[in-house]
Amino acid sequence: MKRVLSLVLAFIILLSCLYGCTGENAEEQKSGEQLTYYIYKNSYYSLYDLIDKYNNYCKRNRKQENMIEITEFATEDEMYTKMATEIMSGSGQDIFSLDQNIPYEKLFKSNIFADVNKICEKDSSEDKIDFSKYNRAIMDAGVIDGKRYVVPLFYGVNTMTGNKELLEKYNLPDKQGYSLTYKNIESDFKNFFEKRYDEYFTEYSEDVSYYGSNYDALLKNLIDDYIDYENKTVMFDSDEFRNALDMLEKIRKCSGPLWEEITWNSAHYNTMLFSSGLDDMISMARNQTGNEVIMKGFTKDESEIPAYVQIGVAFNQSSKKYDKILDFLKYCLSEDTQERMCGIKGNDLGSSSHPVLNSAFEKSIVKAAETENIMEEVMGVDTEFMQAYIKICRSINSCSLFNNSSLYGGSYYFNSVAGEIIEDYKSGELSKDKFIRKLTSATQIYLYE
Amino acid sequence: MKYKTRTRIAAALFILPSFLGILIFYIIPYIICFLNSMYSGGDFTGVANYAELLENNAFWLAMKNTAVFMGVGITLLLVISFLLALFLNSFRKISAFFRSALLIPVIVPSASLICVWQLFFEDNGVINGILNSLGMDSVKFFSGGFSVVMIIFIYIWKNCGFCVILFTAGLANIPEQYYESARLDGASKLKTVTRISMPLITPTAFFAFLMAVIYSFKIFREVFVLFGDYPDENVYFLQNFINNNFKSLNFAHLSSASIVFSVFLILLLLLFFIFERKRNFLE
Repeated sequence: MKRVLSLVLAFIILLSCLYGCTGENAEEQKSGEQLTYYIYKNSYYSLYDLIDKYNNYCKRNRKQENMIEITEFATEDEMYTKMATEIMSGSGQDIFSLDQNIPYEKLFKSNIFADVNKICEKDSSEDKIDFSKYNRAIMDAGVIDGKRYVVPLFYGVNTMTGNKELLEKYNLPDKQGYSLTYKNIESDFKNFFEKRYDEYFTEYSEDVSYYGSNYDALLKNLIDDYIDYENKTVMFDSDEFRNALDMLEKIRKCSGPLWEEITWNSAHYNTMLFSSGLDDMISMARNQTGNEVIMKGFTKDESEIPAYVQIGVAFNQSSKKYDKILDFLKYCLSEDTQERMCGIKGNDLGSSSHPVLNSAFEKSIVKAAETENIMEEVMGVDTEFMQAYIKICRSINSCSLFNNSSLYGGSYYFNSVAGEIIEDYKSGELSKDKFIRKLTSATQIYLYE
Repeated sequence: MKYKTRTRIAAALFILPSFLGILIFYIIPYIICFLNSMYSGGDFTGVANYAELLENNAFWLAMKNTAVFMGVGITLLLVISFLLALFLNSFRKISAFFRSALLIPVIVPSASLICVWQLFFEDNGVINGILNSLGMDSVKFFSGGFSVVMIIFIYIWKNCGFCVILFTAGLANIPEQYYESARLDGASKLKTVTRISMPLITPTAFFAFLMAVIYSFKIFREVFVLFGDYPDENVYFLQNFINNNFKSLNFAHLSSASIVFSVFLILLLLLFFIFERKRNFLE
């Protein structure tokens, strides 16, 4: 009896092991199905509009089999639980967008994402994707350890637009293309911080708004600058970081409330020294009045010209639907889509961005040159402001995969690890020392996990 | 069919539902977890995940904190519970209300418990208010080294009542004649406790130890509610490590950490079983 029972038990265990090890049947079944993408109710993922347009494109061109199936969950938690259990079992959504709150930095090492270069190598068609036609600095942000895990589609540049009149009034730096580093601001804006003026340094609000405040973005970028993800070290205890934190605190005290209506150029209304710039050439040209100064900022180093990926996409390693993935990628990287996104052919994709396609970027400059501004004048792109801005865009030498200034974006680290600590610091619940201690502890654990 | 065979079949059928439950919900998932720990992103890696885990600073920090918490917390819990049980045993009868009151901390939901503890021990809480009114500085109960002390305190407070009830029942089972003989032989109270009560209560102590170990895992709820996913490094336990790796979809680390921890616990309990068998004075 004991022998029979032990044989039955051994057989059941063996069966379950064999079933657990293989997933080939599941993958074979999936190859004929649509690509999938997950969202949750009331979420706003930047890729959603693009996928929607792509599905319409597929319908028009009778490629219904290439349409992307969007699965909507009731809550974010439900979506992530499903994602986690599916990935664990070797399946899951085919398309990931960078603003989904998952720890991309860790997942790159776990072999979750497909190497897009290898997928493109399988493409034998005439319209094969040639990555040399795209902005190299931006595209390289998606290459980790020689593998292209992420394909950036559109990007923004870290700039601040200054109010020339106000900067001159208070004898502050007003040179086009000036680098706003943490050290520069501390020394050059010292007098402005010490005296109380009616004008504000930039936008700040304790209430979370649709776009978030510039101060939040500056604080997150500062923290990001002092984390070495490669070597898993943090430098929050350095004097440099502490001084920069003090400087940001001064900025916060000198910064004012957000406008109720979303206006990009607070400088135009003569109340803010700085506002964040827009992210497409045509809107910049449309909103210039001759009173703007463009500055690179904020950074650790003067030589750094950073950008961030606004919309980026990654694909599941276990998805074998290469043809469909290629078709979707080609649509996103096509001249037509890239030009529509930056406003050359109207902007029905819901957000402003710079295109990664070099030719589309050059065309946006041409279009900006003939764009009327809000005063119905054609100022063109030969102004110092626009020329400095174009020069910054052409000189980008570093790119982050995440837009930390966006309320709906940002990296997993800021959303799930440091987010609460930062909020407690901003609300005054944590002193500077306690903030640095807690942030160091949480970040080091996160980096090493 | 022989009587013995029929009996055995009947016994097997009675065991089958529980056995199937254990098989489906414990044994098979454990085996699948073990197999997952040998894979990384669909590729077989063998023991590479374990090697990577053993080089992981966060894992060792979590193990160290868990070992310290379990070592100090469980020891203090058992000692305090036993002493309280000895004290209560000196009374002829413990009222039903008192017995129930001992169990109230066990049944209080963790979230409510934490709300009340935060009210008392937060930087601007009741205790610090009293200390400040006496001219003393505030104590940061929930930060730095004090945070682990608070967690151990919460753990003991929450589970002491249940262990006291266990020890009280165990002490009540010791035959009175042993104590009488000891009294007649002139043994002191200390000798009575160490030479009679403690050895004879070993089976109960073992059970209480098992329950204390199980409850030590459940402290993760309180730690999570108080400190979130990424707490201070003194209260970063193995459950935090496993939970965070689940959230960051790192199943290699998750599975290998779970297996390592389970092996550690199995060895610990095995040692205790062997010790208990050798030192069972009741037999």
